[in-house]
Order: sequence, then C-alpha cells, then structure tokens
Amino acid sequence: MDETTHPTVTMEDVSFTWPAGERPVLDIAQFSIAQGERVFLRGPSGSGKTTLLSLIGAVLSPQSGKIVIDGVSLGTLRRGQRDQFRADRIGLVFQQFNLLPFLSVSDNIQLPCRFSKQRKQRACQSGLSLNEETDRLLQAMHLSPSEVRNQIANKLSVGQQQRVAVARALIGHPPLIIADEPTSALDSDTQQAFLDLLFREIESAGATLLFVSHDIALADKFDRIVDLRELNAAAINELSTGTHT
Amino acid sequence: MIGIAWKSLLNRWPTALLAVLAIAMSVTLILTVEKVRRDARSSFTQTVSGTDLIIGARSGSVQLLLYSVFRIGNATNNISWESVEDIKKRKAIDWVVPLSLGDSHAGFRVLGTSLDYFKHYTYSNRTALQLSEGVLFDDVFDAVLGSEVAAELGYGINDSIVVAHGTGKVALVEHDRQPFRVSGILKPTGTPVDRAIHISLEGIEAMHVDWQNGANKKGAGTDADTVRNMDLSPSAVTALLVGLKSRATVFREQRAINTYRAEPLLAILPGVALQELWSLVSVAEMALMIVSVCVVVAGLINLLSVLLAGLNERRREMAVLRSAGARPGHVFLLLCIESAVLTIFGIIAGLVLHYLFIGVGALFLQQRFGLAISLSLPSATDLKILITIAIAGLLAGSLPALQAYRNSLADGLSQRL
Amino acid sequence: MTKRNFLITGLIAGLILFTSAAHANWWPFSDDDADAQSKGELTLLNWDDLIPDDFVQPENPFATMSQEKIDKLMDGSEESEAEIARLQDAFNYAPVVDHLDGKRVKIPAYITPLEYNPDQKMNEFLLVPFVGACMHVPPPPANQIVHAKSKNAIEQRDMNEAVWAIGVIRAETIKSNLAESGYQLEVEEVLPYTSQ
Repeated sequence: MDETTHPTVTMEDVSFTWPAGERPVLDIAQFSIAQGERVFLRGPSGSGKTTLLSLIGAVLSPQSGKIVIDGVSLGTLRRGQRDQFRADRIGLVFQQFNLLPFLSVSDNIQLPCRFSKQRKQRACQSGLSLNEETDRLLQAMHLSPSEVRNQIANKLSVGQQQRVAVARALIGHPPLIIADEPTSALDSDTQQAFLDLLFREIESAGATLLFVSHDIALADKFDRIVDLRELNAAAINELSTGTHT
Repeated sequence: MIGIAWKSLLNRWPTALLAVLAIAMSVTLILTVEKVRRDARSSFTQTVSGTDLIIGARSGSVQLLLYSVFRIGNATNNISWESVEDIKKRKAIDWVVPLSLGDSHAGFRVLGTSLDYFKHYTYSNRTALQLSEGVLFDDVFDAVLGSEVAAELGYGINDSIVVAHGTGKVALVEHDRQPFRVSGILKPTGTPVDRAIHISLEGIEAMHVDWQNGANKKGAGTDADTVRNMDLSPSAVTALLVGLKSRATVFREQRAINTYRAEPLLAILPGVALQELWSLVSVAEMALMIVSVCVVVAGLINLLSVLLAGLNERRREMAVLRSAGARPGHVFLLLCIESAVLTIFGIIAGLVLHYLFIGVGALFLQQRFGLAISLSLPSATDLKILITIAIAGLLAGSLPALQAYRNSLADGLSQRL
Repeated sequence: MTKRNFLITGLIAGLILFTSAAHANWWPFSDDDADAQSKGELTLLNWDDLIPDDFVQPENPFATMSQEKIDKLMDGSEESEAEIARLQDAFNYAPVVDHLDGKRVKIPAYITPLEYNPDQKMNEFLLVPFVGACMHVPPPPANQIVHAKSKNAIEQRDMNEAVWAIGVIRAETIKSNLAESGYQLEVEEVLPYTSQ
C-alpha cells in the first residue's frame, strides 16, 4: 500500500453534534486511510461508531471540519449530490438485512448499478456484460452462479446472504468499501473464510476497506487497527470527566 | 424502479390483491350505474320520433306517454271514435294513427292499429319500421310480430297465435275461438315495438265479439268467417299518434284538444313529457351517483391504508435500498409507482367486471323492461370518470410516499430497527 | 433509467390523447364559439320585434259574442262549421315581419324539444317566449314561435332555463292549406341565458 496516490479518506478537525445534543459526539483531529489500505476500526457500541460511518458515508454532515473521500471534499456537495456520490463510490456491507428479500440474488447484486451510472459502466469495463460480471463475483464468493443466481434472496443461508452482500458492495469497483460488523451474525467457522474472500476481492479490485467490528480476534490480517476510543476526542473527554452522553 | 416496485407488490400479493379488488368493485359500480342510466334514457328517447302529439283520455302526461309508447301501465279510459273523426278533420293535422291496447299474448302486448302506423311511426331520428319477412295485415285475423316476440316464442309466418285478455303473463282467459295468423315479422328496432304484436283495429273488435259484457260467452262462440263479415269498425281507441303539417302549430292544437268539450282528452308533446319523466327520475339518479362516488372513495381509502400500514415493516427494505445507492427521492418514487400500479390494475379489473355485468345483465333488462343496453366502448363521461379515479389514486399514493420519504431521511443507513 | 422515462412519457402522452379525444363531447353546446362574431352582423331581437309594428291584436270573437250567436254556430251545420273556421283563422292570423328573413339574429327564448338524436341531444326544437303557459290565455300565436333546427345537436337542458339562440332566421308568409306562416331558425349556436 504505497502512498503515491491520494488517500481515500481524510478527516481533519471534524466535530459532530446531534441537533438535540449539548456536546459533540465526535471530535476527531486527524484520521486518514490510504488507498488500498485495510483498516480495522474497533469500538464498542455507543462510542460513536455509527456516527463516524455516517459521516464518512456522506449521510451526515459535520458541524465543523473537512472530510475528503476519494479526492472529493464532502462539504462542497449538496445533499442530493452526496447521495449520488455515495452511490457512485462507496460500497456498504452491514451485519444483516443487506438484501431485498423479494428480489433474486442477481437482482440484488446489480442494485447499485441501477442507481449509479458510474458503477454500471465500471462493472462492464472489462468487456463483460452485467450478468457475466455478476456471475464472476458470485464465483469469487465461492457461490455457484448457476444454482444461486436466480434464487430469491431470503431462501439463502445467512452466510450465503452475507457473501452476496459483499458481491453487491463490490460490483462496479467502488474505491471505498465500508463494512459494519459484517461477520457478527456468522458462526466462527465461516467468519474467517468470509474475511479471506473479502480480502482477496478487495485486493484484486484495488479498493480501500474500512472494517468495523467489536471482535478483536479478527484483526490480525488487517494493515492497521484503530481504536475509536483513542481517536475520538469527545470520547476521551467523556472518560476523563466521567460524564456520560 | 418499476421492476423493484412490481416485485415488491408481488411479494405482498394478498394485500395488494385486496386493494386492487376494492378499487375494481367501485369502478364497476360507478361505470355500470352510469351506463344503465345513460342507455335507459337513450332507449326511451329513441322510441319517440317524428310524432308531434300523443292524444289519450285525460289522465297525466307522463302516464299517457308511458302507456301509449312504452306500454308501461294502463289507460284509464278510451277515446270514442267520434272524437277521433273530429280530430282527423282539423286543418292543422297531417296524419293520425290510432292505438288500441289492452290485450296480450304470452306476456307480450297486443297493439291494435291501422296500416298508417307502419307508414308514420318512426324511431331513433326518423327511422321507419321495416318488415324482415312477410307482409302487413290484410285479413282481419292477420298479425305482425315485433322481432323479439318472434325470436323468443319461435314464431314464423303463418303460425297461429291465440291472444289473451288483459296484460297478465299467463293467459287464464283466452280469445281462443278467434286465433290470429302471423302474416309478417318486423326488423329489430331496439324499442318496445320489438315486443309487441300488431293487429288491425278490426282485429281487436273481432276478438271481443263474444265479450260484450266483459266476460267470455260460453259455448262455441262466433266462428271466424261470420266475424269477418260483421261490422268491425272500432268504437273506441286507447290513444292517437298525431303528425302536424307545421310543427309550430303544436301549441295551438294541443290547447284545442285539451279544451275539447265533447270528451275529456289530453294531448302531450312527447319531447316535453319525456323531460318531465326525466325530472322525476333525476332524484333517484343523483342518489345512485352519490352512492357510487362514496364507494370509489372507500376503495381509495382502502388503498391508502394498505400502503400506509405496510410502511413500518418496510423501513428495513427502504434502508437496504438506500444503502445500495437509492436517494430518498427514489423511495418516494417507489411508493408512487406502487400506488399507480394498484390503481391502474384496479381500474382495468373494474372495466372487465363491468363488461361482464353488462353482458349478463343486458339480456335480463331487455326482457324485463325492453331496455336496449349494448356493449360499447367507454363513453367520454366514462373516460372522465376513470381518469379522475386514476389521478385520485395517484394522489392518495403520494401520502404514504411522502411518509416513506421522510422516514428514509430520518433513518439514514441505520440498520438497527 | 431510460426505460422508466420512456414509460412515463408514454403514459403522459396517452393521457393527453385520451383527454383531447374526449374533448369534443365535453362541451355542452357547439364547439367553436371562438369567432361567432366574425360571421357577419348579429341582430339582437326581442319577441316584440317578431310582430309587425302595424299589426293590431285581434280580439277573441267568441268572447264578445252573444249566447244566441254561439248556439247558432254550434248547430253542427256545414255553414256554421265554415263560419267557425273562418273566425278562427281570422283570430289566428299572425303575420310575420318579412324583412327579418335571412338575418343573423340572437334571441332569448325557452326551448320546447321536438326531436332527439341517438346521443339524446336535441336537433329540432321550438323557441318560445315563456314556458309553463297558464291556461288563462291562448298559447303563443304563430309569430311568437320559432321552429329551430340545429345541425350540431344541443344538450338537453331543464325546460325552465332560458337560452340565447343564435342563427339565421327565416320568415315565411305562406298562404296555403298545407302550412302556416311562421319563423324558422337555422341554429348556429345555443348559449345559456345571461342578462346583458
């Protein structure tokens, strides 16, 4: 992971307060992720994890500070543009309920291409059709395309669904993948296999990974481990002053 | 988005189907009510044309119209032949067609009239009556059948008919000594003419030769040939159809006949009496219309509730869409498309049901009331109604869409629901 | 995206087509009331205008007749019949104003329907100065009735509602047994009545 190219994520002096809140929930002086880096972000629930992801994912706007994703400063975008930006450049995987249960697997995987022309184009740039690219991703996730492709999503096991979710996040080569506790619903045997698949695909796509989890045991393959409680000045202040938001 | 909306609805097909059915039923109701109303009016309006005055014994104008032209109800009294002759003499009058009612055959009314009836009676914008086979009556015992009579009872030329006394469906007392012979059958007209049996005025007199005191004479009765040679000039008729030389004189002639001293008579302008009939009926029509509109509103409210009720369960679905790149606007669009699909399917299903009803019911209405209801393309009013319902459905759908939009803004990408 | 846009455009186009196709039937009376004025001069008529200025209304001969005379006339003889007919003709004599013939006019009136077309619209009707005639006086004379025919059939209206009838009026003085003098109107347009 050389840094000849710009970092994928840069945060400077970012501070976020909820509208009804009295003090900031997040206060981060400096945080950046290099391109192609795999970062493990650790923090218990309530430490501002979701808020941080929402800020990076362009869902929320900070009251102060600057966030730059893939060379674009989020502060310069209007809300509609931020939504489009997220659709174009960020792939998301959650702990569960990633898929629309009534759509087929291939429809689910191709969902982002409906909302982002960029991703649709990039998915087909290697000369494959959209369906062929979908099949390729399924194979990369160790799922048999012919068996699984037209299955309705809620007929798959949880492990299979999570892998399909990864395929969906990866289609169209978004530069940033954010995964929020994607393995927490899987049993320990499948967890490692899942991570291996995820890493392999991200490496071949050249994408950047921000992986959030409470389970430190998974962290050994990552390039960097970051603890949110150390990163978030607001959390530090709380701890030191003993107050609880 | 349309693909997603469609598959989402299919996934919830029981509730979706119910919403579609509710709209369909309301559409069927409103369309059918409107069509029956319109066709009934048209049916009535088409029956009278080219007749300037209708004259009968003095009763009420709507009543006279109903029994003389539509064969609904009965006359209270007759017009004496002397009065008929007097009326014929009036300078302004061009032609007079006498009508004699009161007998029937197998539930169809028998009309005694002169040959002038076939010359002067017109319907539907001055269309004249035409024979499809046979000839008009020549002999005293000849009868000309309307097309429905021949079709339903399976009669052909030269068949024999026995006419019953009165207008009841079952002939308890018949004029069986003087059966009539079918001499001709008329082409279909879509008016009460189709359901009538036409005989000459002399034929009516001939039938009643043995009925002088109101009951049938016992025994063999007078045979047909003797009857033919009797004096069968009519002594009274039930009503007259009158044509004038100049239509502008109609008010004066009407007044003259209404004030005729020798006998209490009533003369009506068919167009005016028809309007009076409509004003009587219009209250009922309005009530029916209001009920139909309420049913449509109920159907739309049901649609609204179906969509709103599902919103909470679908918040997760919306969040998934958003994490896949959908904007809040897409969520709004999704719900709008769903309500549009449900409304449109409801309207189409309603149309289909409507045609089914009309197809089945038309036969019944024709037989029972002589109303001609036909299967036809939706009229301009029908289209207006359907478009209004479609727009209302879309508007109704925008409410849950707006709610979903706001929900998705608030939820963001949060999965913890 | 483009498939959706295509569908939406198609739906809107379809809606517009429907609306314009049904458009013609949505207007209550005739459809081109745009340049009614440009077809020539329009004369506004009163019902008085239809009676010649020099005409003196006849009195009802029977009203002032003595009982004797009435009895004699009613005796049923051919002579009496002829006399009655002559008196009635004199009473009914209602000349028309000849110079109105061929003029384009606008007259306020009530409609008495005569003929309907298959769409339940009127294509032939009488125009009269009042509706619901009382029985105290005779019905309007021949020069207070206009026999109207309309190529574009007009919607049914409540008979108690007045209208403006616009068209070319014909005034015919006919002296024959077959027809009477009277006015006719080739209807151009019928509008709801508004006092101006």
